[in-house]
Amino acid sequence: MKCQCETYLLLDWQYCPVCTAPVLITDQSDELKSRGFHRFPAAFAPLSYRFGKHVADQSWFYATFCQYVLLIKFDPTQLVYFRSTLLDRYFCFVGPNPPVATNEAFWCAISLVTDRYFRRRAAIYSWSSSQEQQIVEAWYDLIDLAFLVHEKNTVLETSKIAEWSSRLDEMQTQETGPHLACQLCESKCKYGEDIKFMITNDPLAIGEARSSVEGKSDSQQIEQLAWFARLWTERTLCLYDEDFAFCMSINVADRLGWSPERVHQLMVPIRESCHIDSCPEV
Amino acid sequence: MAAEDDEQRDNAAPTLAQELGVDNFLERIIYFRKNNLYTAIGTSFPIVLVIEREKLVFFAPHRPLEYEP
Amino acid sequence: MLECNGCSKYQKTEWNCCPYCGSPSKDFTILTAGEREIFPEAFEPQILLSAMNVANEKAFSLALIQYIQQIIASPANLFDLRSRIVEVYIHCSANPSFLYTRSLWVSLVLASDSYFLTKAIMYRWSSPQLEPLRQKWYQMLAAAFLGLRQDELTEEFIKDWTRDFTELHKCMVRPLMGCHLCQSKCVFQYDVKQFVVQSTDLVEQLTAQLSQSDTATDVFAKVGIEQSNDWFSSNDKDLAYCIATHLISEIDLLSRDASIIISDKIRRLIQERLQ
Repeated sequence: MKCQCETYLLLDWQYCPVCTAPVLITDQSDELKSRGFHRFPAAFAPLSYRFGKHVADQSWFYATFCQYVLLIKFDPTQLVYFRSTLLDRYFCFVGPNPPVATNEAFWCAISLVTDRYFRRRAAIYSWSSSQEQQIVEAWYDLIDLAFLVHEKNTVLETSKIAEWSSRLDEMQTQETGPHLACQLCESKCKYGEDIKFMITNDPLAIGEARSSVEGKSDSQQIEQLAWFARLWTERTLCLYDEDFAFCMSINVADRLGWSPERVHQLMVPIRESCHIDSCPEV
Repeated sequence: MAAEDDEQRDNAAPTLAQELGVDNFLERIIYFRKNNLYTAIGTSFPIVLVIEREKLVFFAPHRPLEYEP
Repeated sequence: MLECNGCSKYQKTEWNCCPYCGSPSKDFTILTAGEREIFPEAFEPQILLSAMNVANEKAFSLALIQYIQQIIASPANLFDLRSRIVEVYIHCSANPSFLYTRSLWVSLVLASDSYFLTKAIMYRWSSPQLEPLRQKWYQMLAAAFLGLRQDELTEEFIKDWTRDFTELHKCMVRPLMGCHLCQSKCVFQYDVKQFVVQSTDLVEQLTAQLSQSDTATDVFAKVGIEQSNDWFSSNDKDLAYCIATHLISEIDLLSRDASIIISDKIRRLIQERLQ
């Protein structure tokens, strides 16, 4: 955080020590809009909100959240197992000994990210507002259990989580994907948005992909591209999904500046290289 | 004998999770029993018992962890 | 060191108001940790001026960080390695022979205070937490540099100080990729960073080596261990790992994903080698 006089400010400071101006309370209009607010109002108290908003604004936290939703699709129990990774990211951004309760600021952060995530989806897949509201509320019902304290013990069948995931998948189903090569994909378009975000969020990764394909023949380039995508897939999902890896390959190729026509031309061998048996050993 | 051991471990599990959970937000604490896992990320968040990957039991903190099917 | 009268938070001299409660700087009080009482004659205007110049030198503040970490690594270094501080003092001072003992003492006090203050603000330490440790630190310095007989200054005393000071740093922050593997969060980050940003040669040399990716992990593990020894005379696993991690981030060529993977391997190598 920076003051208008360019002084670097800590998140909990109320005044700029150099120009003595009070630090403007961050615009809290989101607070009232957030669907997470009424589930835990204390999380949106000014100081907690300031920390939560700061964390939610970090693209790495958002990318981790995307990963969370994806993982739950493949393994519903990740709803609880992945909590520690999310919390780990939270601690990347709050600095030493933050003067707020972790569960409060964390709930604020995850609520804000949730709102943003589904608002974006709603715009892309043209959901109606009632559709959006339904899926968001159902999501909040899940994370509410995982992160908030309740008076009573609660039992949740993992099939309920899987149900939610498949509902989200249904709402994301499209006839065509954003790229020409998408015609070979069988999960249009479950991954495109998340993958695009993950790639743009880690800009140096494209440099790594570039150096591994540069100066190679076409067939070697395809192999390297698929290898890169396969590694990334396994690291993101902790398992392998062919469509995900294919989507990753197309998106990386796009970022590498391959023309859509070239990707279209090469899509069959790319798809074949994403097939798990034909991947070169790590 | 085996059943008795199981029971003993079962009773010890919540205490263990709570003991380790205090001041230890980030380390995911897992206690295994057959296919069941206790997982916790600190005392301010619910401790969860994952039963054979099919059921998640969310425990209200600061209460004895008792699960009645 | 300055403290706000209103909310008892540490303040910097150049600040115009307290960032927490907004009290103006005239409401700040000076906290003396007995450093003036130990050697009051030293605090004369003329000496203060020249000592301030020395304390502001980067080389001197680095030497102090080094000295503190060396003492943390081994208590005997309080006496064994003080000559390094004197060397750097002579190098930084315009007129080193002028009232040498007094100037050195005041330089040390000023540099220590600025070190403690920066960390106190960064880690949000309160004065009841830090003041006793700062007091003890001056007792240790007085024994080493003024030759004052301090009967209570035993090895135990230094060890206790080291333990308490390290304990104060413990928190759950993870400033860099790979911090999740460290078991001393977050004792070293500030000190290591000061050294790493100064080592442009080392960073350049490593950048060149990074392109041979099959040996990169090995190189980083080696450099981490070597530098922790070289800079801080320490064999601490977490310190070596902290240096390696900071170097990776300073080079800024690796994606997050790659940093995490490489950190994992480096950590394993360092653990094997510093058994």
